[in-house]
Amino acid sequence: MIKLTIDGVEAEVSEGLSIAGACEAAGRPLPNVCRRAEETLPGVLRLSFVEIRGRDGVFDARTEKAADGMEIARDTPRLKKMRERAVRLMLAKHPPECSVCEKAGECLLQDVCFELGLSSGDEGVVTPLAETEETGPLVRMHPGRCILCMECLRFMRDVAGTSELALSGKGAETRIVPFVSGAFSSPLSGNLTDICPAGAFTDGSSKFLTRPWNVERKKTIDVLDSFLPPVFMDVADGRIVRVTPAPLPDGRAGMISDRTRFGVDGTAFGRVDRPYIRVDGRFRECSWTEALMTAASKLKEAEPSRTAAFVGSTADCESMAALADMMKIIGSANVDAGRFYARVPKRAGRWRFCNTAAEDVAKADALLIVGADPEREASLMNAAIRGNPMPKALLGARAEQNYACEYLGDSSDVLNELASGRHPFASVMKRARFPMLVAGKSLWRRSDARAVFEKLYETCVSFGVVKDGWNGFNMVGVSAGMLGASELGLVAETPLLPKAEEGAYDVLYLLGEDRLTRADTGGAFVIYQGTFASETAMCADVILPGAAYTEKRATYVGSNGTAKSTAPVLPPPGQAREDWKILRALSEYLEKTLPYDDLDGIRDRLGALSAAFVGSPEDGRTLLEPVSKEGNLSDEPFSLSGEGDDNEVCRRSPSLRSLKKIRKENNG
Amino acid sequence: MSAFAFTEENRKKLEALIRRYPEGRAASAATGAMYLAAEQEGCVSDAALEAISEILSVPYSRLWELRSFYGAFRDKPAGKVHVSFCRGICCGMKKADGVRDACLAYMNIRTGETRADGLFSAEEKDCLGACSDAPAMLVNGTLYGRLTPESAKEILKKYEAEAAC
Amino acid sequence: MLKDADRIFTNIDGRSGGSSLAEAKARGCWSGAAEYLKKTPRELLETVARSGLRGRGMFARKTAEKWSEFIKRPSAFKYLVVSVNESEPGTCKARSLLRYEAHRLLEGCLIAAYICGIRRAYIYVRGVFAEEIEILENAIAEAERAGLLGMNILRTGADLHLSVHRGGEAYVCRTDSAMFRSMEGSRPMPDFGADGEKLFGSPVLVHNPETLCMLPSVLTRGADWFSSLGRAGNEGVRLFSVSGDVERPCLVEETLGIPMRDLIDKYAGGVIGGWQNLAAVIPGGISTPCLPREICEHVRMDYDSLGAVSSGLGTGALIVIGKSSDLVGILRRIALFFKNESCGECAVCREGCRLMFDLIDGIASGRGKRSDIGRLERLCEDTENAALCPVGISAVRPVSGFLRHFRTLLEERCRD
Repeated sequence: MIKLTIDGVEAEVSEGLSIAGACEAAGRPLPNVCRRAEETLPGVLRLSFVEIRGRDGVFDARTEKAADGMEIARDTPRLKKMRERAVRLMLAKHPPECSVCEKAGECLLQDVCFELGLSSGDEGVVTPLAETEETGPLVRMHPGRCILCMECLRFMRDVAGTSELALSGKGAETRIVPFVSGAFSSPLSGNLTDICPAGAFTDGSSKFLTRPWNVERKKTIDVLDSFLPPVFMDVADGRIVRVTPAPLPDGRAGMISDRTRFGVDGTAFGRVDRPYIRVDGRFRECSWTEALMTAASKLKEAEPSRTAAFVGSTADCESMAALADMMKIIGSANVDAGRFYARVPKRAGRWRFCNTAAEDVAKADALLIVGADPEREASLMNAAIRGNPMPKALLGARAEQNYACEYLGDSSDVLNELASGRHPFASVMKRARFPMLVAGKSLWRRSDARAVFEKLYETCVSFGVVKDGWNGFNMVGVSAGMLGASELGLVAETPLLPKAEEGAYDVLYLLGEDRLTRADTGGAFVIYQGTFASETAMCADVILPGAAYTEKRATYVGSNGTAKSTAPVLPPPGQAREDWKILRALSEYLEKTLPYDDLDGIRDRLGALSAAFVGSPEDGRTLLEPVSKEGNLSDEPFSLSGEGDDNEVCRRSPSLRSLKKIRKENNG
Repeated sequence: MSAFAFTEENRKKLEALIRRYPEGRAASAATGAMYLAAEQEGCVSDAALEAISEILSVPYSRLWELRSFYGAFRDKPAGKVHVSFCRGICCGMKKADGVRDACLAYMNIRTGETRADGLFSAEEKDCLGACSDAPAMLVNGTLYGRLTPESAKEILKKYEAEAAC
Repeated sequence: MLKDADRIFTNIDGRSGGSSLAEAKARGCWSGAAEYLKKTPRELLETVARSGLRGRGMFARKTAEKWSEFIKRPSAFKYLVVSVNESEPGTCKARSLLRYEAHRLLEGCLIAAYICGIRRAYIYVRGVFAEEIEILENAIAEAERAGLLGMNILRTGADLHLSVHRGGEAYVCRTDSAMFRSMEGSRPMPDFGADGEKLFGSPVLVHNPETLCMLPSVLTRGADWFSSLGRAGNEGVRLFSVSGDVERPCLVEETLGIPMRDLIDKYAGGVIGGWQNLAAVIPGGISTPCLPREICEHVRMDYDSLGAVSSGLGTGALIVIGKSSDLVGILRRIALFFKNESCGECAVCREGCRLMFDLIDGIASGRGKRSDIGRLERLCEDTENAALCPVGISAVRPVSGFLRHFRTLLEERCRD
């Protein structure tokens, strides 16, 4: 630790910081357009100057190191003047359009000008209005507003790992140009709108919806990305107008993937917002009482063995637990996950999760990817992987990775060779002290899944992927919905959907399941509890409208095996209700009331069902359950998880669909 | 597949260039590769950038960035006779403007243009590094100094005659 | 006046032939190598320290000090880069140096590399010097074949692998870190972070070619000989170029401290129209402030003397401006140069140079107002204080020099 004085106030900071970093650490930052003092290139914007007592001239606070005993002045008249003039130079070509720019009110450049008391650039400089480049509907680019801080270039090059932004020309003609066909290909491109300190990158999904001073900003978590990142949702006029990342626990700016940022509009359309029952083949709007009574009577009538429940991609843990309890009370053992891309059983333990903590990815020194596409299936983890120069190899369908990665082919023979140590990459993994293995959800779908995991277990043991103090095994791509169902033990050993199709059930209770068709239900009486007027809802006999993840206090299980809860950002639409409460009410009509009356009660129940809901994330982190041999590896090549998103909100999101369409059109 | 391919000889030269730099640093040969492409085609075309991107494993946009930054590279073909005039102060003091204007009049183009028949093109550079031989110009990369309007035109005529053969 | 016997660049005008190895050897190049390579790097460094040699580029740091610091940098691997990026109007030595004295440069590289424990070097040459690059490549090939470069040089165990890197044409590459980025295949932009000042991730020593050319003579003729030329703090000889409004523009070698007037009158045939016709001299390339005739009358060409009159020795490139030349027009060309060559990384230089040019252009073409001169002064101050790299600072120097000595000329051109 060193002691220094900043504008007469003593402070103590760690050694090795630049003056700018020291000022930040001491809570007395320099006024500056760049968001992250230590991370940016030394003073490209030329604002971070300070004066140091006893030394002539001014000093660049970013490149000059803080030393013990330094007396720093951040704000002398000379410095004020210098900064003012430097910003005026920055404004020299900046279009004077704050009044029509969507960044107004939350623009760092604007804030700096305000702080410095500037109202114009250099006198007499006239600039044209900014034009827009074609970068897609969601991340819009206005090069005219760019002040060439180069943050976006650094982000795309270093974090997102694409070459979609580059500089054109030289000197005063310098511009940032996009190399984009249709839309940015990186699933992290939405972060450009947060990174840009001016209005050069703006969020197209919230364009013209409202002004930043009109919104109410609420903090919650996202569930569309199974990492469950913390987010801010801005609400105005009764709708969610924008999603941005919340800062990380250590205060650094967060980052979210495009599905988190843009997918939320999937909750805005095609909602069921009131109860319905089907009468004479047609839907009739009804009261909650009538709907619940109808559902309850059918459930009471039916034989427990001919009653089944399926949970879908938008179901939350509270309601899934309540549903499971209700089925128990009825006497039926028929509960299962509905239509998901891959079924992940509870007994798979930590094979289901990402076990390497975010901050530990930097420690890893070798990586093997099996049947996964980390850039698209786990964008946030992929950014950390990309930042680590360790040797990497990919076994599976060839996908463009945004880092150098040895391609091992897609044959299952390669897995055998790796497990037995014969493969050259095996020695790379063995030599590593902290090897990582990233596997994709495509593995669960394989007919030889058991054999694959057995081989993976062999591999993990022989490479030391799991050992004391380190678990490098990560399963990516499994949705939060499936992880929740799995953790609550609702993924049956033998799938029940085929039986439903055959007509084995008379009553089906569907919770958050929107992927079934009439044919799948086999003529049963369908009770649909969910949020969308989907095909599934359309074949139901009773519709019980539930709340979306943005409208309730609900818990989800994330890809690292830890549970997190949302906070409601909006009220549920119309007469829709929080899901677990619907089941609680239904249980009353069944005359077998569930034993929890409030959130604490249902959450206690969750805690009883699984340690994931009460334990700390460290519990069991270094374990990986042994897999006993069962069958052999088939010839099936390792593939990716293919088209289609498990999460119904994402499937319905107009923004994500338009993005997908554009990317498909342009990348063939 | 790019529409551009290096000649056998140039490909060998490029590979030798790459070997001048440490392992994994093929990107350092980017400007060298562009010079070779320019020798072949009279400019560094988008197709050439694609080919270079393949060979060096450098993203296309990064090469595009270099081409657009450096004064040395054109993206459209120069004329058969390409002239670079100097607008530095020493050449300026030795009446380089007069030499330039006489040449441009003779070539019937302005700086930054290529004549429609593809024979002549002209550009201005900030300094050719020949200040004590001012006024100077480059014709197809060769330096000529201590020019007068007449001597400069004579040089152009010579190149013109050679280009006609 | 420099005696012929003390001359280092015996062939700078090309009269004694070209840069073939045979011709170079005949002129004495490589003759001392076998001897000095027997000594330890420490001994050779001390010789250079005693000679007082300073860099012949813009920073003019004491060479031995620079080496001492560099040697301390911990790394298994280090580079030497010779920066031959001469693109500044007025400076015109590099072509002659490469054409006629290439081996002297190569030998200098070997000495610097040997002293600093470097085995890999690059010569970064400005792209437009196509013919000179070919000559240099041939010289390197010949030297390698003769065992003067490569592995186990002259069987002393010393290694040096030398390659030419042909640059893309950018003045900003005179800033070392921009040049490194350029060599790494990135857009050249200065990067002053700790890692930015490395090449390929390793520590790197950068030298001006003229500095290196001094080394063989310093070692073979001795430090005392070198320091006897010039005066303390300004030892030795260097190349001066004289261009502009003189009878015979030329490139000459002379002792540091030679009176400016002697250079102009004795070597360049004097100012066109006589000394009284002299308006101003830019003493060291366009990034040094200009000096009016009264100062040129008595000033000497060395670091301290020119520093004392608020200018600099720079690259030793004198640009002589006669009264018949339009000084304001010349300033305009200089401002245009910097506007064109700004790399664009920082707003200060990027917009500052553009705005300076606009103001000067306006004044030069009669559209300017008196208040523009005040704006110009403020711009100069801002740009100089805040520019990211020396290019921005260099852009300001000629303008502030002009404002200091020739402000009335600008005022006269304004329309009010």
